[in-house]
Amino acid sequence: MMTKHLTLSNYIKLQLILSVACFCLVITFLPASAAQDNGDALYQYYCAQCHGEKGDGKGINATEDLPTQPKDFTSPKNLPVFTDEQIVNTIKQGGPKEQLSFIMPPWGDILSDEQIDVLKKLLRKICKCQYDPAAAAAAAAEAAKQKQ
Amino acid sequence: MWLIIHKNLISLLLALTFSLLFFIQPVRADIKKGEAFYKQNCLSCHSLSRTTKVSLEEAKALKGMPLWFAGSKFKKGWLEKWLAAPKPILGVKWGTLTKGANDHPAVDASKIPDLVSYLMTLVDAEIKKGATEPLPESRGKRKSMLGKTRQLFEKHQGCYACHQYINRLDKTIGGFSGPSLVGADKRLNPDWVYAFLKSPRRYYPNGGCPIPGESAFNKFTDENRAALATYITNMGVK
Repeated sequence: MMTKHLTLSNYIKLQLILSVACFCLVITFLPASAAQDNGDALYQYYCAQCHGEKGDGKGINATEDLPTQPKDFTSPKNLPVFTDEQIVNTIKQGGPKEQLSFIMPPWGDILSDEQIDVLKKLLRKICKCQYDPAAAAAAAAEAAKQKQ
Repeated sequence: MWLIIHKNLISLLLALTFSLLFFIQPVRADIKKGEAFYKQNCLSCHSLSRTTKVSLEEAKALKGMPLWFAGSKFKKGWLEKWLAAPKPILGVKWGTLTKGANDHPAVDASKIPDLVSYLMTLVDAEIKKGATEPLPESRGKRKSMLGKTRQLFEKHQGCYACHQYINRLDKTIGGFSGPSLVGADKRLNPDWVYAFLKSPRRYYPNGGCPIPGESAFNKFTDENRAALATYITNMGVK
């Protein structure tokens, strides 16, 4: 029997070499997955048609017939009023989840949670902003005032 | 004498009828020839394989829509006319976000019957037949049904954000990134539209059409799908 001639350390080494070889093979022949797409590629493929290639809300679908115009992510006013969780929820489950327009569709059946997180980070990069509770409170007060 | 003339006349008429029948008989489309034409002229852009989700780089490199389900998706009469004189369906240049038309070559009229016969054999066997309701005969009931389904299209799903369509004022409005739905009544089969709304990634794995599924805030029922498929495939019908 071959195993009788292998010492334990050689056996472990052989196992290690085989595992590494298998891993390399899998990596080499693994098809390029959507998870590898970077944030910019995801944005241009799924978001830019409405929100614009630069994020300024001027995509080719931003016609005057829409009940709400797509958000301009470059504006310092628009994104600071949303928490990261609200941004993620809106991308994943659609605008109505966060009392926003139904025109913003849900992407959760196409994009993974990881990809949505990548997009959220990209939006923060485009707006050069983080969540600002004071701005959110002011926006909520303004919305309430308009409702009255 | 008259009898002889009469007999000859009948023989002549019969001979003429048989000759006409021989020459006028409908041209039988040859599926094999259509397949050969497709492989030579169409396959480089329109894949016949059911693909899986690929990287966006690969998805953008595709030159045309896959057509492995063409016979389920398209209506035969529309295909025949469109292939003879292709008109743009997308509002953007393929693979870009630039408004404009795509140049699709016209197919020689003599090749169309064979090609279309072949395309009609490319069906998705898993499509459920009769999933949608036909429009009622009565104008009143029809108007009421289309009114309800229009609500789904406009208010519930907001399909017109990406697709051109005809609104209730007979005005063509909507976005440009998705295929125009003006004329979808002549182009698309209702059963395929229902199947697409049910499993969009089966047909376009990378998906640009965000149809609400399990992760959506507003759920989309089978009844909704059937109603929307009815609306889309009766676009412009009064």
